[in-house]
Parts: sequence; structure tokens; C-alpha cells
Amino acid sequence: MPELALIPGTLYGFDPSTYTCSVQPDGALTTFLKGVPVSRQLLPAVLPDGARVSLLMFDQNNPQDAMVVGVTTTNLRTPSCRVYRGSSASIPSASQTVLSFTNVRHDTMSAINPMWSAGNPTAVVIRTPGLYVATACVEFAPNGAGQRVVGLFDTLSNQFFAVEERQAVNGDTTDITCSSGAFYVPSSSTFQVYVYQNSGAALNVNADPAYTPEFAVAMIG
Amino acid sequence: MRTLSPTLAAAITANGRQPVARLRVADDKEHYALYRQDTPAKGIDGCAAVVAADGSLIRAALFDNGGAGNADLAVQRITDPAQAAQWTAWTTLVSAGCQTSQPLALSANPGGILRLFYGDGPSSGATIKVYESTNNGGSWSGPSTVFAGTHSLFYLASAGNDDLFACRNSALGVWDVQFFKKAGATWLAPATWTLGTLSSMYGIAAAWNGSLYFLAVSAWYTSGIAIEAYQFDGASAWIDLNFVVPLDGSNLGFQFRLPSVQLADGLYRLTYVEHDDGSIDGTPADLYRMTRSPDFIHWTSPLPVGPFGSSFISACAAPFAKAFGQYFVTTPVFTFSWPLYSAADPGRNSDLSGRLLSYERRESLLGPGEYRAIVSNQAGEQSSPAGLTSNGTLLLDEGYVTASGSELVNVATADVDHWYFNRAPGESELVIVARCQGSRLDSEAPTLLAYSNRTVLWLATEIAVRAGLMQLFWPATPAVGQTVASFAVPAGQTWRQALHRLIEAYGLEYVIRADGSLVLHDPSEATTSVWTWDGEIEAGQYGQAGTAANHVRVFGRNAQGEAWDYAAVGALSRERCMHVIDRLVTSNAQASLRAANELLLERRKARGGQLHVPLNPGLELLDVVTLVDDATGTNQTFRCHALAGVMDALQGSFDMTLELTGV
Repeated sequence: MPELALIPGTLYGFDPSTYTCSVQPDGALTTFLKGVPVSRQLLPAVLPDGARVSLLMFDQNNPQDAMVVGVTTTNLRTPSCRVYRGSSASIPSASQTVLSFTNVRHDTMSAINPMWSAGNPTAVVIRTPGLYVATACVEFAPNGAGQRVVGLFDTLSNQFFAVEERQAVNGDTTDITCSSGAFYVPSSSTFQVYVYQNSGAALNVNADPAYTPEFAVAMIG
Repeated sequence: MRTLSPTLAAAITANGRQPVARLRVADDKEHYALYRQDTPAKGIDGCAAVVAADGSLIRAALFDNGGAGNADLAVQRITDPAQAAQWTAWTTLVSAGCQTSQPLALSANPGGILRLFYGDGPSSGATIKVYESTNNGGSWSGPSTVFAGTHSLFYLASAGNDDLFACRNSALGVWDVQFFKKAGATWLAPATWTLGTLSSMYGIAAAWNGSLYFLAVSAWYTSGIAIEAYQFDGASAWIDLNFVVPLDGSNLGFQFRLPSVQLADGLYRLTYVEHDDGSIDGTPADLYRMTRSPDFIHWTSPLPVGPFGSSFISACAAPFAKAFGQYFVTTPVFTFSWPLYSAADPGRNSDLSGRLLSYERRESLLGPGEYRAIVSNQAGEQSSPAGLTSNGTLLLDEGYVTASGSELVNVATADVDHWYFNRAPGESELVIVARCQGSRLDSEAPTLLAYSNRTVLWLATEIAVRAGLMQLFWPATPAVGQTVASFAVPAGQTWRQALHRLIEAYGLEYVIRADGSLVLHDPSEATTSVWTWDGEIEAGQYGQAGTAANHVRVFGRNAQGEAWDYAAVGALSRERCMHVIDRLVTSNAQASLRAANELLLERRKARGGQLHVPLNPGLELLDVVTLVDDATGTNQTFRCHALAGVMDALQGSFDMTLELTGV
């Protein structure tokens, strides 16, 4: 009868389209098992080359009848990042403007490959293909004229995957939270926040200790 | 069943039979020792060797002068290996004008023409030149140009059929193989192989079997330097046969490069350099290894040749040559050798028959046969018999005295496992324990081996040859030809475990014959009784049982099949189900084959027994025998699942016990 085995190994060449990979079992010396199925519970983010994995082989002699069921490398996590802007930003009238951010609230990939950096302040970088959600919260300064728009932009597909638009609030700030549903990113990309206002003059996006522009991105599958 | 002469067959059942046995040990296994170590004045950039028609050993080498196209080409002819000077004296043919990087090939061609190919230095190897000798290396003429191209041709190989193969580097990261053929006095334009390009190559070896060329190419495959075997028909058909030494990742720092191959005594012997870059122990080192193949497709686990325990780094191949009654693996620095075995060599053989006190042999299906012989050592004369070595060979022959004299049949050509002495006052015995050649299947696979879309027969041959069993026989049944989509032999798993898993998938069996050949057996093969006992058994128990499954269901990967024994169901008035879940089975047809064979194997449980009979040297595992016993009204066939033979001269026993099942 086939002999079941649970063995440790090292993962290479994860293919998200087939959800298979190569695994070099400990002791295999110079060769890999190829085309090994990976549990769909394991997100691509935790499956880079070199990840230490647990391989369940339902049949030691049949690599296709096996599954990578766990990742033991300690610093591999699902991508998630939330950034904010610590100062107000002046947004010109009638011009789509990319909002830049100044600080990170959390970045699960910071120890590996950060999703956001001050050197590229407008973008949250997506390196792992998969399903993502994103949310932006923006407060425009008081002005009752025109519309206010916040959009979430994917540079890979060159499209907005979420847009929130409303008439300006007269006599108060205009606060907009723009959320996407699940959005599939097939390969490396960046997400950005676009803002727009047509009050007829430059208008601030506010930032104070109680309320700052926020941008959150999380992989969900 | 082994073939018995009519007189021997008659002797087995005759009254007053007189048994005979012969026990020999032989040191006949190929193992290499350092033959000589030289210190050439210059570094070695490449070397090659060939045996000329007169038996002399011709070696050629590239000696380093610094720079890529500045090596010396030198040659030597060895007619007497005992003359040290012949190993150290080199005749320089080209001084400071040859390409380095092993662009060197030496071959013996039809018409007694030796050819020595090398890469021209000033052209960076884009021009290939050749020297020729028609007097067995006594003198050389040339050079003449084989080919002048625009791209470097690093690494050359010639199979000795007026041919030349070369690794061509046409751009950064673009390598392929070129084939050159001489027709009459002209070298034809090269042909490019049809197997695409590789990102880099690290050596090439070629052999010719009279109708096909075989190539071993060291190259960067996947993500590391491995050696792959190819076939070429000399015209247009190039085939990727199998890996010789696999490597998918260089993360552990191994590289396999600079292959060299010769066909000798029915086996291709391929030597190569195993490079360890020291990523594990911090000490980079090279080791020459040899692997053998009966067909250039399936290769044995490699044998380390040497040098051992040093941090030696080799820039040249270590070609194999058979000369002067020896096998050589030789470079200008190291030469390793193994003197060819001869059964007539008293220094490597002993016949212990005259002092044989007793022996036992035990053979069972799917396991190693074991042979234990006790030899009198009363005067210490057998304390160290010639030929008794670890992994030497024990040869056991059994038979009877017939009208034709002593007729013997070899029942074991086994690998010596260990030996020890029985000592007590007045007692001194040598006990030798050996296991059948099938015990080689109990060695562990040194590395993970993975295969896709190979047939059962191909995989069984691969496992057998990797283990060191070079001969395979098989039935022409559908099960043997089934394709297995995915199969792996994990590192550390024994070859036997892998073989069992493979043949289990289709309900097959195997036996290992006395000569070490592996015989696949399909339960659906027609059976013929090979021996009948009609009342002359010494003792026995045999009977019937109703425990066998009569309905087998097999569930595979998106496949299922079943087989019924309706007669058994009717007779038993009961359905006995057997469920098999095996995802190596990938089609309904395969599932049905498995179910049918499982049912046949189950039927064997319907009857069985044990017989004690006079020793029969012809019987083998899985033989079908007939038992006739008038006292019980028995006249049935049985299949031998285990055999045990015992000879004890002092007790006068020469008996055999057979474990039987149904057919």
C-alpha cells in the first residue's frame, strides 16, 4: 500500500496559476519533487522561493499525490499595510491628484520587502499575486462648491477599482471613505489613492492628530 | 525453473541418489585503487585516452601555459604499464597554441586510424583541428582542419566512427551540440542537434554501438549542472533518453561535469567529475565517479573512484580505458585501476567444496535470498581463503551424481555479506553468509529521483539498474506497458521499496534469479507445472481455505475498476470484498488490470501448504509444481512462494522445504 509521509522541505517555483510548486525534501541532496500541489489555504505571500514547508505525501512515490500543507519559515506573513499622511496636502481644483503618504501604521512585509517606503510615497506595492481589498479615508477642508472624489487606482491594470464621489458639504468638511471589494492582482503592481475636487480653487486634504488621510491594503486570498 | 539435464532430473527422484555440492568464493567485483600518481610539470587543462588496435594505451593531454588559447597538446603511448617512464613522458604536438577548457577528443576509428581532435588556440576554439595516427600512436601526422567556424567549440567527443561531437557556444547563454562526420577524405558540414539550446555546457562524451550514437552532456539543466544521456541516429533523430546524474538545484553546491564514456565488456562506463563547492563542509573538492549502463538509458548509482580525502580540484576529465588486462580511470596526475577478474586466478578464487560441512539457502518472494555455508577450518587452512572479500561472490552449485558424472546447477551467485569463525576446543569452522544479488535492492537511493510518464517496464528497469542489477526479463502483458504519470524514489528509500510500490500498482511480482537477473512476473501469465511429486514427498501439509477475496474494487485517480470471481462467490455463498485505493492508477483500464491481477493473487490464498522433499536444484520461486497424493486424493498444482534448502554432510541431509500457495 502507498506509504503516507509528512516530511520537511524547501519550496521553489510556486506557480499561482496551477497552485503547484517544486519541493526539495530534506535529504534529497540535489533534486526536487516537481508539480507538487499546494494547499489553497496557503496564500502566495507565504510561498516564496526558499520557504520552509511541511509536505504531506499521501504516497511517498507519487509527487502528484502530495500537498504542501504548512509553512514553517517564521517571517512569512500575508501582505497587509496601512499608511497615513501626517500633514495637510493642497489639492488643485479640477485636477486628478495622487495623494502621497508619510508614515506607516503597519506593514506586515516590513521585515522582508516593505509594501510602502518614503522613497515612493504615493504607492503601496503589491508583489504577491492574489485577492486584495483597499480602503482610503480622506477629509477635504470646508468648502461647499463642487464635487469631491476619492479613487483607488491599480497601476498594473491602469484602472480605478473603487471610486467614491459626492457633492461637497456646505459649511463643514467633506469626509469620504472609499472601499474596494475583492480585487484580483495577477502580478506585481502598485495601488494609489487619487483625489479630486472642483471647488474652483486649491483645497486642502486635512491632517490633524484626530483625522489623517489613511490608506489600507490587505491581501485576502 | 532452471534447466536440468534429463539425467539430473532423473537423479533427483531416484532411489539411492548421491548429492553433490560445490562452494566457491570469488573476488570478482569491480573496485578501483590508486595505480599511480604523477606530477606533470604543467597544469592540466584536459585529457583523453583510447586503446589502440595493438592494445597500447594512448593518452593525450592539454598542458596549461596560462591564457585561454595557449595550451600545449601532448600525447603518449603506453605499451608496458610497468614502465613508469611511459606514463610520464609526453610528446608535444602543439606548443602553446591550443584552446583550453577540455576541447580535446581521442578515438580509434575504422581502418585503425587514431584521431586526436583539439581546439585551435588563436581562433578561440572556433577552429577544430585533428592529428591522425595509423600506427597505433607510434607517430602522428597533421594537423588538418576539421572545421573552421565563427563560434567557439568548447568540449569535444568522438565515438570512434569517423565522427566528432562538439559543444558550441554561439552567444552568451546559448549552447548546443554540433555533429561532424567524415565521408571519404572530407569532413562534412556540421549538423546541429534538434534539442534546442542550453544556457551553458560543461563537457560531452560520445559512444557508438554499431548503429547509434550515444551522448552524455554536462550542462546547466533547470538550475544546476547535471549530466543527461542522449541518442542520435547519425542523421536527424536526437532523443533525450534520461538523466545520468540529476540535479535540479545547486543550493547544496554540487556540480557534475566533464563526462567521458567507453563501451567495455557489454557496459557503458561513464566517468565524470563530481564537484563539491564546499557549501556544506567548507572544503571544495572534486571526486571522480563512475556509473555504468547496459543501454545508455538506465545508469547505476555511481561508484566513487577517487581521489579520496583530499581537496583536489580537477580541470580535466578522467577517461576510462580497458588495457593490459585492467580497467583504468586515468588522468596525467591520477591513474586508478582494477585488474580484470579471472576465474582461473588462484589469488582471487577459492573452491571450498572439499571442506564444506553444511549450508542453508533460504529464498522468499519479494525479499533477499540468504545463503549460509559452514566450512571446516580444522587446521586453519581456511582462515583467509583467496577470494573471500566483503561484497565478493559466493557461488553455490547443487546437483547429484548421475551416469554422466557429477552434474551441478548454480543455485546462487550471491554477494558475500559477512563471515565469521566458530571456535571451541576441537572445533574450528568458517561460516560465510551471503545474500542474493537482489539484496542490492536493499541499498538506499542516494538522492531523490523523479520521473514523469514512464512505463512500468521502464521504471522497473531504472530501479533495477540504479541498484546494480543489469539484466531484466519481463512478460509481454498489458500491465508491464502501462504508463505511470508520476513516480519518485525518495532519497533514503530502498530500491526494493520503490520497486515494490511500482509493481504493486499493477499487481505484478518479481523474482531474482541466481545469476542476478530480475524477472518481472504478471499473475495473468499462463502457468505450467514444472515438477511433479507423485508419492515421494518426505512430509507435507497442504489444504484449502476460503478466506480469499472474490470481489476486488480498485479506486485510482479519477478511475475505478473491479473484478469478480463469480464461481468463488457461488461456492462460498458469500461476497468477500477487497478495496484497493491507489492513485498511481490513473485510468479505468489500469484499474481493471490491477483488479484482475489482485484477484489472481487473492486466489492463491485458496490453497497452500508446506512440502519437505529431496533437494531439487532446478526449482525457483514462483515455479508451479504438482502434488499427487493418492492417500488423500490430492492431485493439485501449487506455486512456490518460499524455498529453503539444507545440506548437512555429517547428518546426511540434503533436503528442501517449499512454502506453497495456490496457483
